[in-house]
Amino acid sequence: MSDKPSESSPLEREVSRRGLLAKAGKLGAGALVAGAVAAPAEAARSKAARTSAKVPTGGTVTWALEQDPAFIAPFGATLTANRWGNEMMYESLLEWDPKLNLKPAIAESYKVSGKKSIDFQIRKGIKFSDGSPVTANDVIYSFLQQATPPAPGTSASTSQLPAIDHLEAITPTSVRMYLKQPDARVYGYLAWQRYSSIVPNGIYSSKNMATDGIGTGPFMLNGKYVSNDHVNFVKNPNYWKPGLPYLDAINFPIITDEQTRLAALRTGQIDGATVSVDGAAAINGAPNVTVLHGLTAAFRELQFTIKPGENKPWSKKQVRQAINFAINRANILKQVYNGYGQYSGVVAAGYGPWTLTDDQLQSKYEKYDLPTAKSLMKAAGVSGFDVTMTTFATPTDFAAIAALIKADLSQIGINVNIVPQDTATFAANNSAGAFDWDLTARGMRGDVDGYVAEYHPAAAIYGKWFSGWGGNKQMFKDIGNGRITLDPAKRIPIYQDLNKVLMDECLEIGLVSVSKWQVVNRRVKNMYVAFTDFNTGLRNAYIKA
Amino acid sequence: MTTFLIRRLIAMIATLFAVSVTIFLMVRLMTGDIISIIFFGDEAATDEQKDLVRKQLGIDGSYFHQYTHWAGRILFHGDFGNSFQTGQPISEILGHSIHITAELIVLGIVIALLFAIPLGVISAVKRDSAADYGARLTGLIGISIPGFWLATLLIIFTSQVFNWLPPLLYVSITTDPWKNFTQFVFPALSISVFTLAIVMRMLRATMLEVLNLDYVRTARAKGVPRRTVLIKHALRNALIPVVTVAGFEVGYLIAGAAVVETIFNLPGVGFNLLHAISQRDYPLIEATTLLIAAVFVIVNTLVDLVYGLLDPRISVAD
Repeated sequence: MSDKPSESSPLEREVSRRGLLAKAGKLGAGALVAGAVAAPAEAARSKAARTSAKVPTGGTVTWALEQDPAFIAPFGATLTANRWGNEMMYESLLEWDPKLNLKPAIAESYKVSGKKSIDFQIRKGIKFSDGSPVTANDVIYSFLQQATPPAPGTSASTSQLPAIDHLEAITPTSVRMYLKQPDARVYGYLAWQRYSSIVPNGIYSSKNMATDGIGTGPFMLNGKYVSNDHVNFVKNPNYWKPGLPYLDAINFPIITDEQTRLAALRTGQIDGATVSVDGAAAINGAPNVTVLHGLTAAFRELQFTIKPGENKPWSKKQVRQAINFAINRANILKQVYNGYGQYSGVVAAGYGPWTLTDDQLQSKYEKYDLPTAKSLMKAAGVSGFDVTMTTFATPTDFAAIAALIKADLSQIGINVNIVPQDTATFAANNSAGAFDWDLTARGMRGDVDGYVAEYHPAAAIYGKWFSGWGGNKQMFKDIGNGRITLDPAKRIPIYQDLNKVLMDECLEIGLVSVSKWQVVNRRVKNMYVAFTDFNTGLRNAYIKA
Repeated sequence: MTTFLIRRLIAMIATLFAVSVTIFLMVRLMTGDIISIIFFGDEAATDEQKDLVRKQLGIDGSYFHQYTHWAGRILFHGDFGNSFQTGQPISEILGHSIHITAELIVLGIVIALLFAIPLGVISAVKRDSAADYGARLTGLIGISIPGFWLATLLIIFTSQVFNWLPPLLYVSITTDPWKNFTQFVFPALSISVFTLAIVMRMLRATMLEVLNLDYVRTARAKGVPRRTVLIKHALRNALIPVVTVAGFEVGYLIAGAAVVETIFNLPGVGFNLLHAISQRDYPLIEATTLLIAAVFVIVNTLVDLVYGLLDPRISVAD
């Protein structure tokens, strides 16, 4: 993506009130979804061409966060909200553009220097917001903190670390990263930036990083983060991208109640916020706001446990396949999400070239095909069964999807008993494998491996979820090779094959990827809904005079 | 009086001990803990990593060990521990939130009493009049309306009709008293309606009873002005059960304020408690619950003392 903005964001997809309210009823959800796939890329190309030369600078945007970050320390946090609270000031060696293409960031270049080493050249002249230059020692220090996060972080985030062994300075402005074994996840780990921020050497001993911080991002802290209240930023005068940021400041008040956010948007007290699909419908048409939507990595999924000796009906592949074909995803999108969203496999829809296309999913792998589902059940020798499906009590879309799945599966003789649970209970049971079926959600991953690693016996969770499953050699081979293949050109075909194997095995059944809704005051331009679930668009946003 | 206070103090300590044990066990008996929340969705996490975080947070030993460690820190060091989620000291979190809730509760009680007492008196004195029916209807509505619903309605109403909202970031009373008032008046109104209705109905009932007592008739017969009889003789006695109710209401208001605080974006005690429960933030849940229990016990002790002031016939035995 060009850093120069167009009049409205390259990826901005505004919604008319009529469109939002009527879409579900008037359009076939399939057609809608097909259109949605192509829209961002085409919009990006056409709108970028209309880039205006003169961009207004200055002004403050007030953007409400819907969840408290808890703390803004860069390491050891697992809440997505933590990144919302610090993403304006922290960057990593690499970054993604809005379409998840790798871009240099603090590192202006990198090269694979050996089978298990990568060299990073630090960008010439790059400085932290306090004016100090970024050096190899800062990078080395930052990676040490990532491996052993200091308080208030915990070591919970270290499971996201790829196989980095250690880093060494080659020169004061270049580092060599040594890997324990070849690991292609490194690039995504760096570009995602969620766990891989670069901070000044020794900063943890001089600052309370829970509420304070220094980074290289487009903005720097203005004051300190106040829990359950606000975190504010002002323009970083030392930012390395020429001309950016356009805004003078961004303030993030924390407003957890959606009705309050909507009311504040109406009154202009805030300039933007994330809302639910119902909230978007409620405010769409208000004179001072624009409703944006876009796909994120969040998708809904049906999980099974297959344990040894239990011999549950879904331990047979044909039964799992029957379930897959009996679920009407178009209806889920129409009924639950007003027609917005997309079919999803086991890798998040829209996750670059690493997943199956929407067309492949709709026409083949996730086709709603009741006759085939019935014949698969018959071939498996299963006439029907009762099962308990647990899901989240909130947000309410889970219960709505569960009800539709129950209705769909009753047509092939499966009687689903739905049990909603609070998040902590659900999470505990899920991670312990204490469930038969879970209707759950997945989120963003730094690398495609994060979506598929669980299907390999080496994964910690495998034994709790799939220990009674016979296995699939091709699947295991693809997962292993995918992780160690550093060349993307060679790596993509591996995952294309793996996706197909996974869709055939149906160990987990991807359902739909949902749209994220953000409401923005009309004066704010160049904002877009980021696929990563962060508010990255604010970095390049500006205010129209 | 001294014996009474000592007795109440012992009862208070026993109550708080019982609350601490109960809440300590209850939060741990809930399915799911902070570990399951922070590792949720992380399929790569190993049991060893989870155990390490459990150890870092101090929830790896037996319940007995955890309780004695936690209680010991409170008793001997005044240390309530740190929040699992934020790492912030609990005393800091409560120190910030308690005055927000206190202000909200005080304002809520003031609003409730300001309306409930005149309405209750008028309703009793002008029994079966239009004013009485109006007051009783107000009471009925007040009891029926959930505070969170009224709060949401107020937010929507003021934003849609007046294009105005109360400030959404906390402003302390010392920084800007007027802004602080505009921030607190609507949430206080939202939490006050139930108390207003309860107190009004209670006062009406007790006033009706008192007005029919002999000493009121005697006072009137002796030529004491009606206003004096009402305020000095009848109301003073009718207020005794009202004080009890108001005392209880303080405890309920703290708990009930949680949702209203969330709607009006006031990070008070209830707001923190709600978040702490959903996140299984044990130290914050335990400390907040203890605090609410302590306030409940203290307020009720004060109510007992106020009895004596309102009615000289009631005195605390030494």
